[in-house]
Amino acid sequence: MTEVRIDIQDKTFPAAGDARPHQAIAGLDFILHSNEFVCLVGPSGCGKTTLLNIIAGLDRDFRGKITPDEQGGAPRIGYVFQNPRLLPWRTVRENIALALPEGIPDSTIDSLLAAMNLSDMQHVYPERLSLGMSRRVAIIRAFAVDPDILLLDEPFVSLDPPTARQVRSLLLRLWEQRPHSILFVTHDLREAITLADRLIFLNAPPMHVLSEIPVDIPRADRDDEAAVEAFRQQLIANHPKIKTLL
Amino acid sequence: MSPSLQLRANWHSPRVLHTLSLLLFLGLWQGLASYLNSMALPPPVAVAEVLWREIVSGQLPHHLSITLLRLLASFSIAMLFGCAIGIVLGRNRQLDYFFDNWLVILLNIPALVTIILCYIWFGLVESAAILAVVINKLPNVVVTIREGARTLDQDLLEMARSYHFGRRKTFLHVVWPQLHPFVMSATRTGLALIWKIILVVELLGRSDGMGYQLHLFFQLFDVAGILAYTIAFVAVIQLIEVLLLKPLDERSQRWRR
Repeated sequence: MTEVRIDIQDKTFPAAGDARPHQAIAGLDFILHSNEFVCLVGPSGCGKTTLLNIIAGLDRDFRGKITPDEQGGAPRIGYVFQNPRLLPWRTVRENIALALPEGIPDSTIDSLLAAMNLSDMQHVYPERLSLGMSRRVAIIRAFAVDPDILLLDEPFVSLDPPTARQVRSLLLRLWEQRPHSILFVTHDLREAITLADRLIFLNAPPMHVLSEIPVDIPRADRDDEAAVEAFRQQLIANHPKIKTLL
Repeated sequence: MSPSLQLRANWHSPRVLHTLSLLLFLGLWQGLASYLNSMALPPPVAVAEVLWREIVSGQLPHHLSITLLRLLASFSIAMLFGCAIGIVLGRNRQLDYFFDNWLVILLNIPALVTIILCYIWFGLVESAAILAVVINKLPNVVVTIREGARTLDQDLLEMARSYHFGRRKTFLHVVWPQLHPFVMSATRTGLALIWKIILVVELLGRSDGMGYQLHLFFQLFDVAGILAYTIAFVAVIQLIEVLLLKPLDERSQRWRR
């Protein structure tokens, strides 16, 4: 998969009940390069989940185009939703195995479970997991399908900071082992700078791209909070428009 | 002090309470029967004798098994079609609006009317008997399952779609587990409803089964016979609950904390 172009001219939710029609996205256009880690940053409720649902093919009611599309070999998607969305009546392992497409061996699950430190939990039902564990299972499920694009919708929200940091570094390790493009939605700028190759700032309403900014801190230096903070300060100083989003 | 405490603790154990309530029931029955001393209410021992006699002679097992077969047939048909229709109506609002009236009408037709009409239209045959029971039970199943299908978790359905589960996998692993409590509830109320209707069906148009036997006892004014058959039937239904439904319930609920 070389690159994917996301070009959404118009996404409008029809009137429902007392609510008037609501244009969620207008003229949003960007390119996701091969094996690139992109963070989408924007205020809460600006339509980021709508965007991911369109890219995932869950929402086809929009004007625009995702290329390559189904005729051109649509990218395989791994989707980590905002809440883990595990089937409570299936074990951790069954939850992952159910998502596996044909042709991917079962042993993938074992290595991913080991990488996320969850091997002991594979026969447990999700209700017995902590939120951090459930999130990790959801990430494993998305990785297991060997996606061309991994979509993550604020996957670390409501985790305590140490757990979030741990899951974040596990995510990066997996990504380095199995590179593919990542679209990571967040409203936390520090998190975005720590993770991304490139930041895309989104504004609303309706949602559109405000600016695209590459992150040039070497990956090795990103554990250093001072470096991240310095980048953040500079970013806000150089792009006053962004400040209004945060 | 301590023995009385122990006694109180025992009082609370469910098994003791169950046994005591059963004994009390038998005691009241025996007391009332002795007091009345009438053919209309034979004492428990007399009923037990009739029960034993009927079992040994093979009469009771014969009629009971025929009724149970009818129960199984009509129950399976009603559940199968009821689940299918219920899921469709629960997932499709237009169809639901359209057929809602039909359901209300069907729900409110007295069982006796469907039975009589089925016998008039299709004759006094086995299939008419089964059909009458199915028509009585079907709307209840549809309404229960429809409720379950309406409240399916949208998030999980989306997840299944984004991971390309396909129809079969989605049904087995996402939809069915959510419907399960509703299916169990339809099964429980269904069994209770069906076996009451089935006796009327047999009484009106069959020459075997529990309903037919009860009719016979009624004509002979044989209250002991009526009670003996009732006890056997209640016991069998209770056995189905304990041996089949409870384990099914527990198995499907083991994922809960």
